[in-house]
Amino acid sequence: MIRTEELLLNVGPQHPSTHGVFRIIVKLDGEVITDATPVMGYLHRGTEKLAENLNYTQIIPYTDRMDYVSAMTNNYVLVHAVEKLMDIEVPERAEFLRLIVMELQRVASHLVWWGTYLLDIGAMSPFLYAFRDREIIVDLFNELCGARLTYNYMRVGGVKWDAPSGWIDKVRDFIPHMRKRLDEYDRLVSGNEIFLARIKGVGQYDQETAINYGLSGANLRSTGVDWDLRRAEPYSLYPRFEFDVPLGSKGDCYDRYVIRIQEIKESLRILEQAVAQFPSSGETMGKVPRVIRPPEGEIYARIESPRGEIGCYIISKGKAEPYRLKFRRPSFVNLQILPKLLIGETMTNLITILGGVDIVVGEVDC
Amino acid sequence: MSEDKNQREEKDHKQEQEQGHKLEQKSEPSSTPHEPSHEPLQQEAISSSTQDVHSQAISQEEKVETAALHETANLEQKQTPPKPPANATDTEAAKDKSKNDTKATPTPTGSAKERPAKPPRAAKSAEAVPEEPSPLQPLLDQLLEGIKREVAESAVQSAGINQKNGHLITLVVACEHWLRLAEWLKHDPAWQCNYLRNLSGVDQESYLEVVYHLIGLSTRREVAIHVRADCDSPSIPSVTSLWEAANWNEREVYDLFGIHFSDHPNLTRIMMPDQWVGHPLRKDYEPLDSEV
Repeated sequence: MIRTEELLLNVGPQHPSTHGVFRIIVKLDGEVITDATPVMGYLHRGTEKLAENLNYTQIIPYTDRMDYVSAMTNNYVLVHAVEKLMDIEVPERAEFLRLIVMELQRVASHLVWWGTYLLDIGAMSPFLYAFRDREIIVDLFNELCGARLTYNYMRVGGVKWDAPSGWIDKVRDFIPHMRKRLDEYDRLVSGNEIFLARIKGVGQYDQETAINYGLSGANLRSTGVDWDLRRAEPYSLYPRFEFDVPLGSKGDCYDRYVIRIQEIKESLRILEQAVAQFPSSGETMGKVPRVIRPPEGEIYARIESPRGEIGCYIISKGKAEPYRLKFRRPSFVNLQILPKLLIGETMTNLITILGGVDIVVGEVDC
Repeated sequence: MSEDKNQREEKDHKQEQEQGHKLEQKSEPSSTPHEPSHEPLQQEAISSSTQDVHSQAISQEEKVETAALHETANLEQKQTPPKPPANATDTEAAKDKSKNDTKATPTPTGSAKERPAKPPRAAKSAEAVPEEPSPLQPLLDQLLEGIKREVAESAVQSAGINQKNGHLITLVVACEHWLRLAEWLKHDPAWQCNYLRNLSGVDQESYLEVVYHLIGLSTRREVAIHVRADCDSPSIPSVTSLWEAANWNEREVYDLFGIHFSDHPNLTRIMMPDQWVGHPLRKDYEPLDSEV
């Protein structure tokens, strides 16, 4: 009988389809994976240690650099935690601005995922389309806070900058534009036979496994668990808006793909309502003491980032710096299931499955 | 004249920068002019915090707690010397603190110990606590009863409700009963905590602890659990067999805090290189190059 020799293959850390500096060592028998060991830490910057010597406002830029594809939601989870700890009320206009940028960010983040995922699988042009549309959002953010990737936009008690005149109108114009584009992409990609053959039934797991692995975001909802923190544990102004939580049933890469596309549509729905209800005037900063010094205590705040549940656990000892700050990063937790999914799969499916999990390595390593 | 002033300003500016860079302030006597501006603030903060502790000590007379506090106060004294001074004001603070420690050994100075958001137990809350009892108080009583009946009499060391955190039930669990309690929490029909949402390590200086945030996705019941370990040879049973989500999280805590999780399938470093010495998130961790 012919037996192929076992091959040890190093994927990454520098490989475009690992979405950053993520490395995985796979054992191959022919083309079939028999063992997979992820290796992390290439982007570990010690954010949590650094935060212990910084005051809360100084930590905000560090959160930008965790999940750099979705900096706005990272900003929010930190300021939200501190506000809860200090009982700070945020003015309505500021909260609206936050919600609008978070939903825009969700659209932008899913677009990046969509483009790069298809690139992984072998389609070049969707990547260009996705980045073309994302550019509009990035420009909007640029106009709002002067940065394209690391925004440092939110503050404890509000936001740093008010929307410039005409900005809300631009957001309003963006919504129908994006809807039209999404339909186009749906026709272009979602029904493509080759694409469907690549992702249907790949990387499948059931509900119980997903919960046991602590998955969140589209990874959890693809198995049919109705768990979106915007709905399950409402924060910000989400209770005011109507939107659906798209769910899957099979828990494969295809379901995750469909959910993310649907989520873009739902985000646009939220944006539409938010822009319509946007208060025409008002403060953008609440009453916040000059030195932010939360009382002694601890808090675990969590929100729904594009990748799942991002949490911020703060222990305060009444100082201007946190005693301990821990981020629950969805990419890190979601990635744990990868070795389990890979065993018995082929090398090509490694890329499909890894892409389907949707990780940002800045967040895996923190 | 104006030139002189400029020069002085420049000097001041330099010093400020130096402080900003957190250079060793001991060998920097020129930084003294800055101290007065910092000192009053610091002292104020310290005195107010000690007052807090006093009032807490009066309001909370739980035997177990105070006994533990004495222990930690002692431990803290032992621990203070090796702590590296981060900057001048900090060393001041440390000195002041150690003074306070020696003065008031019988009173628990371990501010590190208390979680103020935690009201005392049910029996106490009726007495003299001005806060109105949390709506989750009956649930907490029920939980404590269940644990006593099903797990062990002494499994829960202290319990409370973190009102700020959406009335989050918070328990401090004895390390030796933790695994049994975790199993019960996961399988008890009233709780079914099947989702481990967060796991974090904390260095409380006198002891280490791991905090678990659990929720039952179907019951929507949530609980935070603190499990403590001593600093010298910290070890906590692994819960990877119950929640797979704990696997990498425990590796991360092991890597950054040096807490050993017994029966973990693969307890190796995950963030730092394998040959790294020390555990960076410990408070007494000394970086190789202190200026970085």
